[in-house]
This record gives sequence, C-alpha cells and structure tokens, in this order.
Amino acid sequence: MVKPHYSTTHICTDNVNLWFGNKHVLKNVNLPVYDKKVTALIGPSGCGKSTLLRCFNRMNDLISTCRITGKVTLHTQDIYAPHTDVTTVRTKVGMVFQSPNPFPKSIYNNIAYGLHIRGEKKPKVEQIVEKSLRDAWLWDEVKDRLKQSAFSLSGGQQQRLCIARALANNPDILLLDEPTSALDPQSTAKIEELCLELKNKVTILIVTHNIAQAGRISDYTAFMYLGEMVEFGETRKMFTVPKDKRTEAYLNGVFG
Amino acid sequence: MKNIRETTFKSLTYVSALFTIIFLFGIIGSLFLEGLPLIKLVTFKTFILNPSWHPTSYPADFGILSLIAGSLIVTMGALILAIPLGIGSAIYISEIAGNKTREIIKPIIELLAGIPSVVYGLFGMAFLSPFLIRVFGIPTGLNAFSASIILGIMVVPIISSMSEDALSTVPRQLREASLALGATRWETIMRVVLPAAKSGVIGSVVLGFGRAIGETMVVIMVAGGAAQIPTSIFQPVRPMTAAVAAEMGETVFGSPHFHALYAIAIVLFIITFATNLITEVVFFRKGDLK
Amino acid sequence: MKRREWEEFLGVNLLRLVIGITVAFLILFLFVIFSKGAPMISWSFLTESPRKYMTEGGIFPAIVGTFWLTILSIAFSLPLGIFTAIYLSCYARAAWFVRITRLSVRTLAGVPSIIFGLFGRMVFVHLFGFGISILSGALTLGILALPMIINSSEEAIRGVPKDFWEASLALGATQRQTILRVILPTALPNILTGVIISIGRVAGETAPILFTAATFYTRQMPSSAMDEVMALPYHIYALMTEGAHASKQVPIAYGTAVVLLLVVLSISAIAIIIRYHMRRKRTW
Repeated sequence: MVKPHYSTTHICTDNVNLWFGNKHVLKNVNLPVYDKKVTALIGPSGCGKSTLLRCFNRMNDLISTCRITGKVTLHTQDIYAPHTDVTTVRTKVGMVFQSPNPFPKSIYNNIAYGLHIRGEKKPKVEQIVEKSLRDAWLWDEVKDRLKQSAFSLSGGQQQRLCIARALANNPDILLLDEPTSALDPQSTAKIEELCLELKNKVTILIVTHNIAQAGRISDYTAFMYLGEMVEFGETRKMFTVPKDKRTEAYLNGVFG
Repeated sequence: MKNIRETTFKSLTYVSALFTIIFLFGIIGSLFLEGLPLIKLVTFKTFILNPSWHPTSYPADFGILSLIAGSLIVTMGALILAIPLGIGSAIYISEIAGNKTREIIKPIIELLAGIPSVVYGLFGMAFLSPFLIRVFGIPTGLNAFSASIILGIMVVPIISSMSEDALSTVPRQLREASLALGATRWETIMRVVLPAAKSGVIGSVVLGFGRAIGETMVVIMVAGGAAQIPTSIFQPVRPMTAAVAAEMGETVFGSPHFHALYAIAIVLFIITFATNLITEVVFFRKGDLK
Repeated sequence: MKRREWEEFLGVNLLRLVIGITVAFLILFLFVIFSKGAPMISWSFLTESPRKYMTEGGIFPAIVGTFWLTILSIAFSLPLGIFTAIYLSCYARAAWFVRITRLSVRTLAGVPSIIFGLFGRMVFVHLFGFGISILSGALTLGILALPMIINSSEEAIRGVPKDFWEASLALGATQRQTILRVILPTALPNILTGVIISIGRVAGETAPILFTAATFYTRQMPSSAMDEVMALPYHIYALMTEGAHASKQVPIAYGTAVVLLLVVLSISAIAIIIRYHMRRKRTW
C-alpha cells in the first residue's frame, strides 16, 4: 500500500472503505491525485475502479445501499463531511461518462447547462461556451451550428461535447469513466490527444480497461484489484518495473 | 437560498400525492357515511337477499337482490360475447396478422375503446332495440339481452389489448422451438403461447368484468329498468348502477331512499375494488410470465 | 396428418372470422350513427340553441358546456397529476406513504364513474355549496381523470433514460433543477399524449355530471363557473330518455352523437399523431 505525499496533493482519498450493502467494494484506498497531471485507474472488471472514481463527486450516493468511511479531500475539504453541499461539490468536479450522454437540447444549451442552473448572465455564458468548446477541440466543427441538436453530432463529437460541458463549470478535477470505450479508434485517438493537452488546464483522473491507453496518456497509474489499491506510481516506472506480482500479472495480460 | 426552493418543490409533490389519498378516502368515506345509516332500517342480510326493490312505496322495500341479479346477468352476458371476440382478436393481432394488417387493426380496436358509453347506449336504444323486436318478436328491445350485447362490444377492446400485451411478452424463442419441432401455427398458439400468457389473459377478463359491472350509461339506456329477477333473457332488468343513476335525481336528500342508493354504491365499490385486487395480486406476480 | 391440417385451417380462419366480426361491428356502428346523424349537421345545428322543448334548433350550448367542463377539469387535474407522478418517480421514500398513494391511484382508476358522481354531488354540490354548476362538474371530472394523468405521466418520466439524470446531477444541478430542466421537457411528448387521451375520456363522460353539472335545458349560455350547463353526452342521454317527442328528438340525439364522436375521435387521432411524430424524432 502506498501513502500519498500530502504536501503536493490537493486531491486524495484517505483510508476510504465502501460497501454496497454487505459487499465490501473498496478496501482502505489511499489515492493521491496530483495537480495538473493525468492519473489512470486500471484493473480487471469488478475491481472497483469506477466506484472509486465516483467517490470524487459523490455519485455513489445515488445508490441507496452505499456506505462509505474515510475521507475524500478536495483542496483541504473532506467532501464526505456531514453538512457538505453535494451540488456544490459536483460543480467543482467534472465527469464524463462511458457512453456519451448529451441532453436532448441544442449544442449551446448542453454546454451552458451548468451555467444556466447557477443563473449566469448571457454574455458570460456565451464566452464560457466558446472557451469550453475550444478547449475540447470542438469549436471549429460546431461554431456555425450551435443551435442544432446535440444529437446531430457523431459519437466522437458527442463525447467531446460532454467534455466541454463538464469543462464549462471550470472544475478542479475532471473524472473520465472509460470515455473512449464506446468510440471508434479515430475518435479514441483524438480524445487521448485532447487529454494530454487538457492536463495543463485541469487535473485528470481516468478509469480505463485499456492498459495501452493508460500507458499512452497517464503520468501516474493506480492498479486496483478486488477493491484494493495494489500499487501506485509513475506510469513509466510502474509499467516497466512493477513492484507487485499482481500488477505484473495484469500488465502482462495474465488476467483481464 | 437554494434549499428553500428544493424543499418547497419537494413538498408540493408530497402534497399532491396526499390529495390523491384524500380523494380516495373521501369517496369511500362519503359512501359509507351516507350508506351505512340504512342499517337502521334494514338488516344487511335483508338488504342483499330481498328481491323486492320498492323504495318509493309505503312501506318501502329495500332489497337489492334483483338489482344484483340484473348486474350479474348483464355482465356475464357481456363476457360471453367479449371473451371469444376479445381473446380471438388478440391472438389474431399477435400471432396471425402481418405487420401492415396489425398497424391498421390495432388503431381500430383502440378506436372502439374511445367511443363514449352514452353513444353505445344510443345505438342500443335507437337501432339494436327495434331490430331485436323485429327479429325475435319480443315486446321490448330494452332488456338484458340487448344490454349484454352492447356491453360486450364495449368490453372487447379491454380484453383484447391486455391479452395482446400478454401474448407479445411471450419470448419469440418459445414459438420458434415449437415450430421447429413440427407443430402447426394453431398448435403453437394453443399449446405454447396461450398457456404462457395465461395470467395476463385471465387478468384481462377479470378487468373486463370489473369494467362491465361498473358501467352506467349503457345499462340505464338499454337494460330496461325493471327491478325484477328475470325469467327470460329478453326481459328488462335494472342493474345496480342503473338504479343509482336513475333514481338519485328524484330522491330527497337524507331520506331512506337516499341512504339506500348510497348503500348500493357501497356494494358496487366493494365489488369493483375486490375485482381490481384480484387482478393485481393473482395475475401480476412477477414469476408468472415465464 | 390430415386432422392436424384441418385443425390449423379451421383454427386460423376462426380467428380471421373473429377479427372480422369485431371490425364489422365497428363499421356497422359508425355507419348507423353517421348515416342517421350526419344529415342533422349544419351550421345552424352547431351554432344555435335548442328551441321548442328540444325538438328543434341546435346544440351550441351543449358544445360550449362540454368545452368548459373539459378544460376546467384538466386544468384542475393536470398539475395535481404531474406533481403526484413526480413524487412517485423521483421523490418516493417512505414505503408506507408510497404504497398508500399507489393504492389510491389504482383504486381510483377502477371506481365506476357513477360513484364519482355521487361523491361530487355530496362534496362539491352540497358540502362546499357550489351547487349544480360547471365548477362542481369540472372538479368531479378532474378526480376521474386524475389516475389516468398520473399513470401516463409517471410512465413518461420513467421512460427518460437514466443517463440524463446522471449527466445533470454530475454537473451540479439539484434534483429539482434536473426534473424541471431535463426530465420534464424530455418526457413532455408522452405526458402530452396522456393528457390528450384523458381529455377525450372526460369529454365523453356522462355519469359524473348527471348530478353535478348537467341540465337538460338552459335558457342562456353559462356566464360563470357557478352556472348549470348543458353537455354533449348528457344531451344525448336526456334526448333519449326525457321529453315527449321521440320522432323529433331521436334524430337530434344522433346528430349530437356525431358531433361528440368527431370531437372524441379527433382528439384520439391528434394524440396518436403526436405520439408517432415524437417517436420518430426521438434520438436516444
């Protein structure tokens, strides 16, 4: 087990345990998420990586049998502390899901959604929408059709739209839950490139079942197995000289 | 503050749900409030079993056996017509019809379901009744027989659409397996598909029963209105709903007759409530459709 | 072998016969009503009031009455129904309260329409003192329509993909905002279809308005919600069961039936068309 360096980490989990009913899904997880870097969560299916991801914006709260102990810290604030305003937490944490899920609204209104609900004024909204679309590498493709339905975009474009939508809230951290698993190779490559560019602007935590993808884009990787964080380290070091036997087995494709 | 708007909105939804409960219990309460006082005049047993309904004579008779008989005869008659037509239509739509035919026939049946009951009543009174008089040579065309026919047609769409839903839920693999073993279409329907959809189909019949026994306008216009237990199907009858609807207008508020009509309404409510309960508990348990 | 083939032949054709009878009845029914009623339809029939004790004249007041009764009853039950549906699909927590609510909705859906009339008479006409009026009738019809609107709205809301919920909440929206900005707009076409179908039902109901709103003959148009009113379904009933001039009244009844059928059927048609278009436009 790895202990994080708290001094350089503003985002981390501290001894987090999580149960769905009687099932102990996360066991004593200590994950540091370093600022303006890409951290990947890898592991076989069922290891708890998506569940861990969802701890960071309390989306696990939506499951009624969920019970959690430990701390999840976002800039010195434990987001699981009692009386925490969950909706505020979620505006600071952006999430992109496995399958693109734009709203049945126009492209513009999709991006502006997070701003509209906070009552932002039109000039500022327009400004932020353009910036978000530029950051997500989508502006040139949609700037002439912002009023069109989001469903008129291709799958890859829709996913970039969802990234832009999350970026519009100016989050501290962007959570990506297997964002390319539903996309074709070309769109996947584009989004991977986008991540490398985005990390300069926002911290990224990405769950992926594709080891090669983690190798391509992440600075740090955490390997999870059966609910435990088995190993954590710099991606290049971990992939070449893994410290744990289980990590080595997974990286070599012994189990998926 | 954001929280106030959240709680207000949430409370509004709770209050709305509460209103639904209030309405139901209000209805039940009002029925019992005005119906139970009859117990001072007539025992429960007499009320149900006495065939003599003469609420306006002196002394008055408050026995509803003839009314119950009227309701049951007309409803059963309706089901005799509606079950074969309804289930048959459902099987045809689900198993025999081609896609294009299905697209035409389904809306037609839905259309039948949308016709207001009073128009059915008009048809019964002004067309069917004289027709029956001519064909059968009976004195009146407003009787149990004609009411059964009209009511039966009304119930067909209910049985048909619910049965068709049940049939369509039967997995395709079952039919394929049967046909692959050399069974004919008819055999597949009778031996595999229909039994698999059994609970939904029977449920639709029970529901149809509930709908027919609660129907007012058709029976008040077509069943004839004589509060007697009939000896032939061509005699007029007065089902419970017809009695309540026809006599309420002429009753003094708070009189024994008034309470008696509410007492009939209690019986009606209990019957339809029990019917719905049976449908849900018995026929919609999850395991049944496998 | 022969016997099974025969069975198949008879069986399938029996089914064809059955569907044929059903469709034939509908055709006969519509033919009778329209052939006897359509000749009555004229501009004056639709726009004039009845004269000479219902033996002459038109049915305009009944059209107006049905219109107001329907509009007001839906105005009453629509907000109540949608909010209850939102409760059932989004906020339901305490198991006992949810169960009683669902039980109430299901039971109300099965109550015979005459019992609504009795309730309306006791509570709206007498207890609240509204008397026999559009208001009493509309409230009674509203309660009748409530379970339909609740059921179709709840189904519509549950039909919205979970993805939309997740996406909205993950962007920091509250439950209320998600419902108002994403869920309801997405569910709107199906909610609308349910409402339209309820309108069609309500317009054709007679029993609930027998003792709460309807009257055979009013001297003038209703001027307020507290007036008695004529209504199309009640008019048919009254023409056939009251009054002394059957030869004149029966044709008027047929004509009224045609008007009522056209109203109800076109409402159903609108609902079906909307549902069809919305399904085609749907992109998820």
